Parts: sequence; structure tokens; C-alpha cells
Amino acid sequence: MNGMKRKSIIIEIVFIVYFFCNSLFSQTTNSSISSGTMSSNVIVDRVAYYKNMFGNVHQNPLKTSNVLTTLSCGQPIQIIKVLDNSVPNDWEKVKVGPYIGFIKKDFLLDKRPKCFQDSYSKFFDKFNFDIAELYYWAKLYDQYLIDKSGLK
Amino acid sequence: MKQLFLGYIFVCVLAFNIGSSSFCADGQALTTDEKVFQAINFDGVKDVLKKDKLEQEVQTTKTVIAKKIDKAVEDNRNKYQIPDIEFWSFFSELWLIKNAQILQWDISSPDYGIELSFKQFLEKFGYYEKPFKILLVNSPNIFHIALPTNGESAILLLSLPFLKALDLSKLEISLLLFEDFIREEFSFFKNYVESNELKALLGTNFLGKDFNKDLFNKHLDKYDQLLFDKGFSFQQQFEVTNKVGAVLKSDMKYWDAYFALIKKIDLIVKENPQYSRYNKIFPSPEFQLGWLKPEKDKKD
Repeated sequence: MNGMKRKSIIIEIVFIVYFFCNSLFSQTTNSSISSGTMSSNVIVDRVAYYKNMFGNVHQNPLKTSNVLTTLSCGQPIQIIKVLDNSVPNDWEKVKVGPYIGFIKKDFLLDKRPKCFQDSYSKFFDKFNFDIAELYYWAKLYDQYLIDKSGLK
Repeated sequence: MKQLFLGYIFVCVLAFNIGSSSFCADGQALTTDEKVFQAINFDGVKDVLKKDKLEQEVQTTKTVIAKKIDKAVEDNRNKYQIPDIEFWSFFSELWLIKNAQILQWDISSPDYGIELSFKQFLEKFGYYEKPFKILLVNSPNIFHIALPTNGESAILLLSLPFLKALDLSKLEISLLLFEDFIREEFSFFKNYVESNELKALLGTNFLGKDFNKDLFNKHLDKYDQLLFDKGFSFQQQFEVTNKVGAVLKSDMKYWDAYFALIKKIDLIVKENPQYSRYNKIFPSPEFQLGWLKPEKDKKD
């Protein structure tokens, strides 16, 4: 009888430890699982939306760095709060699906944008874009030198 | 036995009652529904329903459902809308995508700081809050151009081989971009590409109609025609050069730089056969110099 009790206590402890660890890791994400270039722990901060037609999530905060995945307009993106100064001011560290990478801050909006491919979905579909064309469209926004003249 | 007898009596009375009211005034037999209808005082029930506002509730629900149906129909119809204002930025980017390999814009290039320099240039001459996107291409087939857009953000193309051949400074690059920026303000490119057929199609809905994809492809070809073959007219070049000259006259340092830039282009166009086609696309640097020169210098 005592042996049974001990067994159930051990099982309970194992469950408690498992759930504690699980909840801890769901809030914090170790960035070393992405590019391996960062060492600090980061927290998922908020959700933002991709605003251009198509775009890329990069492995590093550089537009020439490897592409992890491609995004389309309106796609929700988890923004990761970085606790150190390892990310340049004009980039955000993000989590998209299983990928953790970087997107230019200017390409994100807090509210879901009005997207061309949603507003004119049937018109857009008629062009039957293949994967190569979608790749180029995403790449185009990496290649653009984007700016805006200021206020008077 | 007594209970059975009483039950029999009850059934007989009930049958008599129903039987007595089972005939209309004209003697026809009534159905069960009609009998129930007669038994209930509907005027009284109607009053109760009115007091409960159930009729209003039914009406409101009907209106809500009708609106939802209308919205679903409208949403479906909107999906077939052909863009109007938003068309040109989409179409220009589509041309860039389709011509990615010819234009060779998918390249790594160092940060020249062109965008910052052009931003400051625009601000200096009072062009505030003007968004722009510069795309460097590694092709000598194109020199510099602003593609048609919906006015939201200019798309400016610059050829790296052309910049390198001319060995342009940041100021000279900004002047070249500014010339394209002004050309786009005149909508010369858009006016060339846009036919009456396309104009009539933009902003319409193609639900239940055939989608004329060939028409859009033909108009994409017009981009190629203008940029690689036909180019702009003398009149258009004259208007652009005059406008740029007029804007730059507020600071002669910039006007002189523009004049020197056109001279530089004129020289390379005449000396380097690779760039002789420039004259056809932007006719012509030699004429531009003439248009820019003040009247008294022309007499000299």
C-alpha cells in the first residue's frame, strides 16, 4: 500500500515538473534554435501583420541574409521582445510558424492591412503566379531602397 | 363498470359537440385544421403577439438575415473587381517580376546611401512627404526610369553599369532620380501604356464575364516597347528638362550640377556605343543642354 502511495506521489511530481517546464518554455523562446547567432532569451511580445504584397523572413537582420520563409500581405507575425541590443533598431525579431528570424520594422503594422490580393482576389488569381514569380515578388521588397521625404 | 359507462357518456358528448360544429353555414364538412382554427380566438392571440413584440422581432431578424445575404453577395462580387487607382503600382511591380532576369535586380550591392541622399534632395526643393522605392538593376539595357504607380510611392529604377560608367556622385544620382520623378509627375509613361480599352476596363467588375488576360499582357509589352525601343518624345523631354531646370534655379549650385550631369551623359552617349541607345529613349542630352542654356548664352 505504501509502495503504491509513493509511486503516485512520484508520478504527481513528474507531472508538476513537466507542466512547469512546459509553461515556462511556452512564454520564453531560446533564440539559439533559430540562427544560432543570438544567445539571450527572448519573450513573445505582440502580434503584428505583414504589410507588403510578399516578403521574406531572414535568418539575420540583413536583407541579404538567408531566407527562412516567405510571407504574404496580412499574415500575422509574433514579435519577439529582445532583451539586449543584439537587433538593429530598424529590424524586428519575429516568430512565423516554426521559424524565428528577422523582418524590417517598416514592413509591419499593428493592425491588419488592406491587402491587394485580398481586395482583388479573383483578379490577382487570374495571373496564376508560379513559385518563381512569388519568390521574386518577395525578393523585390528586400531589394528596394525605401524611404520618404520628411515633413516641412 | 360505472367508470366505463361514464367514459362512454363523455365520448358521446364530445362527438356530439364536434359533430355540431363540423359543418359550415353552407353545409360543407370542415377539416381538422379548420376546426382547430375555429376553436381558437385568433384576434385575442394577435393582440398578445403584438404586445410581446414578437412580430417586430421576426421583422428585425428578417432584415438582419437579408443584410447578411446582401453583404455576402456584394463581398463575392467585390472579389471580381478590377483595381482602378491601385492598378498601376501592382502592374509596374508585375512587370519587374516578369523581367527579373532580364533586368537583373536580384543582386547584392553595397549600401551607397542613395535613398538618404535623394530624400534630402527632395526635402531641399520642397517635395515633402514623398515616398519612393529605388531599385538598382545590374543591366545595361535600361538606364534610369520611374515606373507608373498609383501615386502612393514612386518606383525608381537605376542601372548600376550606367552609374558606374558615368562615375556619378550622390548628388548627380539624386538629380537623375529627380528627373525621373518629374517625368512620372507628368504621367508620360502611364499615358503611353494606358489604352482606351484598358482605361475602360479598370475599376469594372468581371463577375460572370470573361477575363481578358491577353489585354494585360499586351500592356506589359508596352513597358518593354517604351523602355527598350521607343522612348520618350522630344516634346516630353523638353517639358521635363524645363521643369527640372526651373526647380533647380532656386539654388544655382544644383542647377550647375544638373547641367554638368547632362554634359557628362551627352559625352558618354557620343563616345561609348553601348550607351548610344540613350538618345533614342531620352532625346536627347544635346538638346537638353540647349533647352537649359539661358537665352543670352544661346546667342553667344
